[in-house]
Amino acid sequence: MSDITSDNMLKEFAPQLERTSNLGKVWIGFLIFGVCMGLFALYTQVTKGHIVTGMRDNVVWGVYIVNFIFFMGISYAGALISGTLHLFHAEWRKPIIRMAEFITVISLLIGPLYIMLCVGRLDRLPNLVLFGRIQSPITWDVIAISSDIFGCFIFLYLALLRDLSKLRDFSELKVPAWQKKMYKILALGYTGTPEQQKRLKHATDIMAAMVIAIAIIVYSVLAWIFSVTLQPGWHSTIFGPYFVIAAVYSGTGVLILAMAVFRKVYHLEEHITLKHFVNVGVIMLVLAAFFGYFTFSEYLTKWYGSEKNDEMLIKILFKDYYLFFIFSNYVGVLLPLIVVGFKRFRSIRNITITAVVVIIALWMNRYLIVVPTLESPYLPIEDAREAWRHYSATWVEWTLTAGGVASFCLFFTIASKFIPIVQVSELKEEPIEPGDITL
Amino acid sequence: MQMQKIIIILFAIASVAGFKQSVAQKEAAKTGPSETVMKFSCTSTSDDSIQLKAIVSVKHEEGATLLVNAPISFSVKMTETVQVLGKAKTNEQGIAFFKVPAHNRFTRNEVQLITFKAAYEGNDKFTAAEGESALKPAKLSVSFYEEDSVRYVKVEATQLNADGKETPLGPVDITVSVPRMFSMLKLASISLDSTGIGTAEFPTNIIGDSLGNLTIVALVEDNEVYGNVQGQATNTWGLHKHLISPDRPSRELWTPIAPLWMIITLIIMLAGVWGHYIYAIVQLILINKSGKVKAEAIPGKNTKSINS
Amino acid sequence: MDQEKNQDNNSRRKFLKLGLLAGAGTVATGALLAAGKSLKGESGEKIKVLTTSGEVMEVDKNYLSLAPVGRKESHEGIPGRKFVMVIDLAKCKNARKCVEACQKGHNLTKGEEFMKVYLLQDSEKSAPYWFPKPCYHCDNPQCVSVCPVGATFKRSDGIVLIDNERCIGCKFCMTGCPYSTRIFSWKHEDAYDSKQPYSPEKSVPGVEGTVSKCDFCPDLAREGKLPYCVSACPMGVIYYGDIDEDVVTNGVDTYKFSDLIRDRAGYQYLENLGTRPNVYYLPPVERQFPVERGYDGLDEDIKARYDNTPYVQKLKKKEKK
Repeated sequence: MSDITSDNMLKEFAPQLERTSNLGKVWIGFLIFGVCMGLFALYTQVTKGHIVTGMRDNVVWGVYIVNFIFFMGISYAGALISGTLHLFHAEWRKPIIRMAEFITVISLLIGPLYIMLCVGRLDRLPNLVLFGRIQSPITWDVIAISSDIFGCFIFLYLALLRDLSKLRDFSELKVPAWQKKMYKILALGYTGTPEQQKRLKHATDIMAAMVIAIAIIVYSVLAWIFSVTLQPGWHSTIFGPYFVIAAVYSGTGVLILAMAVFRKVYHLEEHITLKHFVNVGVIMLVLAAFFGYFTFSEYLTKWYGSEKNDEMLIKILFKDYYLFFIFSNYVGVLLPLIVVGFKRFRSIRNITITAVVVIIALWMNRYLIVVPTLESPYLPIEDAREAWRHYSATWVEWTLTAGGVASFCLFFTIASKFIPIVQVSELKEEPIEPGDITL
Repeated sequence: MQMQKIIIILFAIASVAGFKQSVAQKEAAKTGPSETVMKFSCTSTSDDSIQLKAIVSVKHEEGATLLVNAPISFSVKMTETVQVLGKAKTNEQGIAFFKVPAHNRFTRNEVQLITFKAAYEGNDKFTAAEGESALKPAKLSVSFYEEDSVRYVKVEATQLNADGKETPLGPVDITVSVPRMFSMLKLASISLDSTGIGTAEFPTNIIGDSLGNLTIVALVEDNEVYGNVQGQATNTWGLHKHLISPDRPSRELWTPIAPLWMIITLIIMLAGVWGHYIYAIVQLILINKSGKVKAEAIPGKNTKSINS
Repeated sequence: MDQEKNQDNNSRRKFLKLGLLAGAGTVATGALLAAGKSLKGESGEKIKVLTTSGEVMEVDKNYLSLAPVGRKESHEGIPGRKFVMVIDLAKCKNARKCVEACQKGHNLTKGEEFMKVYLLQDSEKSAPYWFPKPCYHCDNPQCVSVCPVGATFKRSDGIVLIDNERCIGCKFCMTGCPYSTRIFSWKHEDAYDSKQPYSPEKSVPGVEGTVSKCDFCPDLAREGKLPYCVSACPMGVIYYGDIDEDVVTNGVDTYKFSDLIRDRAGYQYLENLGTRPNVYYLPPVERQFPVERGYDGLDEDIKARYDNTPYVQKLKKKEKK
C-alpha cells in the first residue's frame, strides 16, 4: 500500500538529490565564503590572542557563549519536537520531522565550537579529559554534549534508515555511483521485514525518549554553568527549566523558518501546508507563554527583593539595554501569542515572520543573561579603559558568528543534497499496536 | 653549556627581582662605579660571642638593591693598628655575618668599648663602603619559673669587663619576644633593675609548635654602651599548634576528588543514557545481520517488493 | 678557605635559626644583584639552607636566589602553615606602592594588577574609603570548584594557586569568583618570554591565554620574606602571617591576629557569599588620612578609573560650582 506513495515521493524528491541549480551553487559558494571568513577570523584570534575580541577581564564571555547557548538551544528542535511527536504518533509530523532532526544534529555540531572559541588555550583542550574534574559544570557539559551528539546521531540514523533503504532500491535515481554505494552501506541491509520493522520501532521509541531526556540534561547543565556561580542574575534556581524552555522555544522558531525556506526552495507547498505552520506555531505559542512566565518570574523576584547587586543589574537592563530588553522579553513573548493566538493572523507569512522575531529575541535574551551580569559584578568595575567597562563585540566575534550561521546553513544545504528533506517512506509502515510506547 | 647556564641565571635574577641590570651598568658607564652603602651592626649573643653583621646595598635610580656575594672583611681597632679578623661573603639577602668570641683581648677604649669595622673594597662597578660599630660585650640569660600557677619569664643581664670578669648589667630596657614566621612577636618590655634582673608575666595564649615548644628571645637594641645584646631560651609553654593537614576535607567541591554522591550520580546517569544507546545500536546490528541473511538466502531477489 | 666556608654556612644557619632577628626579612625586600666578578655560573658547590618551613634545601652557591619549587610541590603547600592577610583600611591612602611592587615582582604589565585598589562607598551617606583587594584565598573557593582541569587548586597552607601550564583558559573561574580577582592574559607580553623556570608559586613567567591572580607570594614565604605588597606599603596597611601561629605582621609591627581582629572589629568582605575568605579587613575608623589624599596624587589614567564613583562625581560637581 505504501509502495506507490513512497516511490512517488522519491520521484518527486529525486531532482533535489540529483542536481543543484545555479542559484543553489551560488548559495553554496556564498556559504563557503562565509565559513572561510570565519576561519580567517579564527586565525586572527589564534595568532593575535583574545585581545582581538571585545572580551576583557570583567566581561570574560561574550557573543561566543551567547552563540553557544543559542545553537545548543535550537538543537532542541529535533530532540524535543521530533522526539515528542514521535512518541505521541502525531501524523502531521512527517513532512517536518526530517528538518527538525537535521537542525538538531547540525546545531549540536556547531554549538560546542563556540565554547571552544572562548578557550584561551585551544592546544590544551585534551586537558579536559586528562585532568577532568567531576565537580566542574564544564566537565558535566563535555560529558552531556558528547552524549547528546551521539544520541542524536543514532536517532537521526534510525529515522533515516528506511529512507536510505528506499534510496538504495530506487533504481531511477541519477546520482554518482559512490553516492549509491553510500546509500547501500548506510541502509544496513534493511528490507523492511516484520522483524526488522519491529526492531527499528523499538530502537526508535527508546531513542526518542532518550533524546528528550538527554536534551533536558544538556540544557540544564548549560544553565548550571551560569547558575552555580554567585554572580547576580545568574545565581538562580529556575535557570535550568528556564533554559530548557527557552531552548525549545528557539528550536520551534528555527524549525518554522526552515519549513518556510525549504517549502519555497524545494517547492514543498503540497507537503508542508498552513496546517503544519499552525501546529508548530501552537507549540511555539505554548512555549512563548512558558518562556514569558519564567522570564517574568525571574526578574520579578530580583526586582522585588532588590538585593543590592540584583537591583544594579535590573537598573542596567532597563537603562543601558532598554531596547534589547523590550524586544527580547516583551516582543519576543507577546508576538507569537498574538499572531498564533488569533485565527485571523495565522498565515504562513505571519508565522514565519514571528518565528524570525522569536529567533532574534531569544539570541538577545541570551545576550542579556550573559553580558549585563558580567558588567555588574559585586565589586564595581573601576577601570579607566572603556573596553574593560563595557563589552562590545569586535569584527572577529561577529565574523565568527556569521561563519557559524553560514556553516549551519551549509551543512543543512549539503545534507539536503544527500537525503530528501522530507521523509519519503510512510510513517505508518510499522504495525503499531495501541499503547505500544516503549519508554 | 656553562655559558647558557650563566645566561639563565642572569635572566632569572634579573626577572625574579625585576631589577634591570642595565641600570647599574649604564650608571657604571656614565658616572663610574655605583655607590654602595653598608649597614653594620654588632650583637652580643648568648653563646658568648659577638656577631658582626654587614648589609650591603647599591643605590640606583629606583632605590637600593642588595648586593650579593660581595666579600666583606671584618676587623677590629687595636691601639694603633687595625687587626683583620676575617672575611665573609654577603648572602642572598645581601648580608655577611662574622662571629668573634666575647672573651677576647681586643683593645678597648676609655669607656671599655671594642670597635669593630667592616669593609667592602668595591670593584670597577661598585664603590667601596665601610661601617664601624663599638660595643661592650654583654650577655642576657633567659629563664622561666612558675609561681602560684602564674608563669614568668626572667632575664638576667651581665657585662663582660676588660679584666674578663662578669658583673651585673645596670638598668637597661629589654624586650622579650618570640620569633614567628616573618617577624618577632613582642611578649613584654622589661626594665632591668640595678642587679641586672627583670621579670615579666608570661602570656598563656602564645602558640608554639605542634608540641608547644617556644623559643623566647630577649633583646637589647641599639644601646649606647652594649650595642645589641641578644639572649634566648626555649620552653614548652606554648599552645599546641593546630595543624590543618590531618582534618583537611578530602571530598569537597574544591578538592581534587569529587564528593561521593557526584560520582554515583554521574555513573547512574551515564549508565542509563549509554545503556539505551547500546540497546539501539544492538538493534541496528541485528537489523544489519538479518538483512545479510536474507540477501544470502534469496540471491538476486528484488528487495523493492518486500514491503507490500 | 675551608674555615671561611664553614663560617659562611654557620652564619647562614644562625641567621635563619634566629628567626630573622631584627626583622632582616623586611630589609631584604629589594632585588638581588650580583657583584660583578663573583658570578661565574654554577659552581657545583651546593649549600644547604633551612627554609622557614624547616625544610633543608640545596642551593648552588652561585645561584643566588633559592630555586623555585617544582609544580608538584607547588600543589601541596608549605607544611604546617595557613596564611592570612589583614588589611587596615584606616591607614590606606592609595599610595599604590603595593600595586607597583606586586607588578614588578610578578613581571606584570601596567594594565595587569593582582592587587587592585578600589574606592568604595557602602551607601550614599556613608564615607568613601580606599579598599586594596588581593585574592582572598577563600576556604570555600568557587574558582577552584568550577575549574574543569584542576589548574587552579587550594593547598594545605590555604593558598589558592594557578598552574598556568595546565590552565586551558576557559575563564570559568573568573565568573566563579565573586570578587573579580582574576585576570586573563589576553595577548602575548614580552615578559612571558622570560627564560626562568616556571613555578605556580611565582606566577612567573606568565602564559598567554591563561588566567592569573594574586598568589600570596608563597615563594617569598618559603624564604621567610613577606609578600611584595606587604613590604612595599609605606603605611603598613597590609599585615600577613600564619593564622595557626595567630600572628600577623606588616614588617614593622607584629600583632596577634586574634587581638587585632577583636580590638579593631575585623571583618571579611562579602563573607555572606559563603566563600570563607582568608583576607580580613579592619574598618576605616579613626583614619590616618582623609580619603582625598589618595585621590589627589594620582596619575590621570589612574584617576580616571574612579570617575564613576559617587564620591568623585560629587567632587566634580563641587568644582563646577
